[in-house]
Amino acid sequence: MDENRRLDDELAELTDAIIENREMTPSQDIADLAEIARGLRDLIEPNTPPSASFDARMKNRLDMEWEQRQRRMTRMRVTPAVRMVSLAAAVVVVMVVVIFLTNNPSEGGGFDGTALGSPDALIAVVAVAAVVGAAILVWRNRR
Amino acid sequence: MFDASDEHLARKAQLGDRDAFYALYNRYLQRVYNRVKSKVPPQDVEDVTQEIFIALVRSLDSYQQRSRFNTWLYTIVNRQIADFYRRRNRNERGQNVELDSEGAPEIPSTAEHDEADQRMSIQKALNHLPEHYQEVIMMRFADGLTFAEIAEQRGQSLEAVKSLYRRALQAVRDNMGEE
Repeated sequence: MDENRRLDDELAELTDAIIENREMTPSQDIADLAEIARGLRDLIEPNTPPSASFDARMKNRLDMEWEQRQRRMTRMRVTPAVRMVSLAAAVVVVMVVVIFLTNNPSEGGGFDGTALGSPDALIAVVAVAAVVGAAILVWRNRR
Repeated sequence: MFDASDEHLARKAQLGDRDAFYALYNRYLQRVYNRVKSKVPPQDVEDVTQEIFIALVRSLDSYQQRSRFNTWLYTIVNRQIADFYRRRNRNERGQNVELDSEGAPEIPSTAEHDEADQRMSIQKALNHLPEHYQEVIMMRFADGLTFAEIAEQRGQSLEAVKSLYRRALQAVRDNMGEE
């Protein structure tokens, strides 16, 4: 076993003893590191739990925070019923737009001089809008 | 609930299960508290620990199961500690202006001063270590993991972890010597 390995093992063993408050005398080679390990134990006090009063205060504060989180989640949640109503409303809006654009007596339907002048182009635009609308609804619901 | 993995509990907590959240809280309170003790002055430990768990509730939805839960949690711990020091530095800059005009603060007794000095010195040395050195020290002292458990978590051999630990302590010693 080489020297470094011996020192690694000794320091690890000594650290276990320090944390468990067991007596163990380090060799001269690691005496300075043993002091550092003791200093770390004294700093962190790994065996001292937080006080019961602190734990109680924490839980009280976290309960409040949890309630707020639940309220936020409830507001954001889209239920199946809400989704269906939204979808139906979107379909109605699209249908109204289609009827308006295709049956305007004064203009003969469509917008002359634009891509919407052709009924096929109009249907394509409305279809794309409907698909985009549905995609947005699905995406919002998945978040 | 006690046997469930951290990641499983985190998923349930994300879906609104309060018991799952408190199972994680109970599992990690002592470790987080110990980590905070190692890095901030004693009088601020409870406040910072509380801020960490509040941040955990607020950002729970951003946890994605790609990483281990404790890795994600310790990122929050480090961020909150960094925020604490940023806030403190800002306040101290403001207070220094007042002290200049109103005089020096009360000086503590020699014994208290020595103990606080030693504590501050080792804390400062620890805070200036490279991340991998800090982490191996935290895992042994704050999380209470054995060297074998640390090796398993880090995916390293036991020998490599013990060697890393000795180098970490040497770095603490060297940092303290440089002050």
